[in-house]
Amino acid sequence: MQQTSDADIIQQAAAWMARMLADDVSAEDQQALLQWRMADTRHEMVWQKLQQVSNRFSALPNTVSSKTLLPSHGVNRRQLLQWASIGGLLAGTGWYGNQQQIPQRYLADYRTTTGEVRPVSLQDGSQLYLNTNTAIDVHFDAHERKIILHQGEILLSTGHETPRRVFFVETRFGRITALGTRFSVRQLDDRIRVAVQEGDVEIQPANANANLRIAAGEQLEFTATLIEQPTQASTNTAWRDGLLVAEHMRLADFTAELARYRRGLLTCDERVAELKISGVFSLTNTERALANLQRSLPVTVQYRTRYWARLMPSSP
Amino acid sequence: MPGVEPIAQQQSLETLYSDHHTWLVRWLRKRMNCSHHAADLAHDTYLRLLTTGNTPPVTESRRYLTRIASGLMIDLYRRRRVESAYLDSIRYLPEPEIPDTETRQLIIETLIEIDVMLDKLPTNVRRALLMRQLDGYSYREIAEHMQVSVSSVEKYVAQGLAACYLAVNGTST
Repeated sequence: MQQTSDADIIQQAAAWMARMLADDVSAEDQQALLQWRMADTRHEMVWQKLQQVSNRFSALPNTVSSKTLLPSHGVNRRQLLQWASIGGLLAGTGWYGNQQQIPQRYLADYRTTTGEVRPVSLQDGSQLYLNTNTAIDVHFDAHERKIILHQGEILLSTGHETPRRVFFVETRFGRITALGTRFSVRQLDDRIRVAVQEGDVEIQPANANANLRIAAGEQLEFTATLIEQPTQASTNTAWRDGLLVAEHMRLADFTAELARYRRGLLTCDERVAELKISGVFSLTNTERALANLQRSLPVTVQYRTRYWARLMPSSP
Repeated sequence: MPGVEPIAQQQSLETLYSDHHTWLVRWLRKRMNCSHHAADLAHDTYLRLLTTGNTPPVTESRRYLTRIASGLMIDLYRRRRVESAYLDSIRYLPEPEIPDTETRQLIIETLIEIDVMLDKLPTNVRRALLMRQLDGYSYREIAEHMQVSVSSVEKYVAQGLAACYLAVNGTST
């Protein structure tokens, strides 16, 4: 007598196995699984087969990362094939090598100070936003549109033109070529982060035999020699509107982000570093953002001086 | 096999080849942007027909050929994608940790098998299952990374495992 369908049994077996892979498997869980397996010979049969399927994963050495099988979302096959192809041609040309080594940010075409966000319209119709503490140069000629990012972060919407000149952003660690698109580029201490909102961009690290195309909804980080696999974009562009949107953000990360927009020092005590914060905060008035923070989390802002603030656990 | 009609309407592989080979190569070339691979895949398509011993009814020839060819094309792309992603991932490993050619080949084959099993699964399911099974992350870590609840991760993993089961065994127990 068949009360449960095969499909149901497969679902149940999968649910059991997922339970066994959980962080909090209890003795009761294991006991209950045993009972389920013994309740019906078909249960046991499916369980055995499911284990065989699952063993295929464990057959792989631990140098194999999930990322190998993950970039497929949002990246089409043609783009993935690029991984293997062009790369070599660009090796060692040292994109940034011919730039002068003096701190160019003081001579930059456009710059913003701490806390400032500035929109810039370019002659080809491209629109860009400079985030806090950013410096860029703009070089347009008959063949190319080049933006040099000296420091900080920019958000770009490239203009449409025919015939189309190549549009790219040059950074210390490599080049980002726009293929009709909206994306942001941020220079971090030791790497570049690129997040794509629309269209594709192509990444070419300065000293690596690799390039990679990433698509809308993805982001990645790269250095002069390494490209990380793309992940789902989480980089926030609300800064354009003077806002910081936090969704379940670690307080330590939140503090670091807010600190970019503030003069002086803003730090976070490690006892509250792991607290999670969600909400929309003003970047143009970080004092108010900090005041709001105290209302939603058990933290107190301690001012040593006006420019030295620290987030501490609030005393009970 | 759907589309295969009574024997009277069957045609020989020879006529299937002489009538449609050139057309099939052109069809493939248009989709693959490479005449070399197009010729190879057309060849493989006929080889597949030869080994299965099935030939389509005359009126269905091209539909039948393109169905096989499309399948082969997907396999080829999958292989290239998985292969290059894997080779890329080991590129920066320290020398002693880089597997030898034979081991690499085995790993790639296994990865392709897994990729086939995970075909068409939603990204969340795929990600949760792979992060648990390949990387060994805990549900809590995965939940944090994906910004979902721990119970969702468990649900995704279950969904992924069931899909793998079905991909390998079909619906039968």
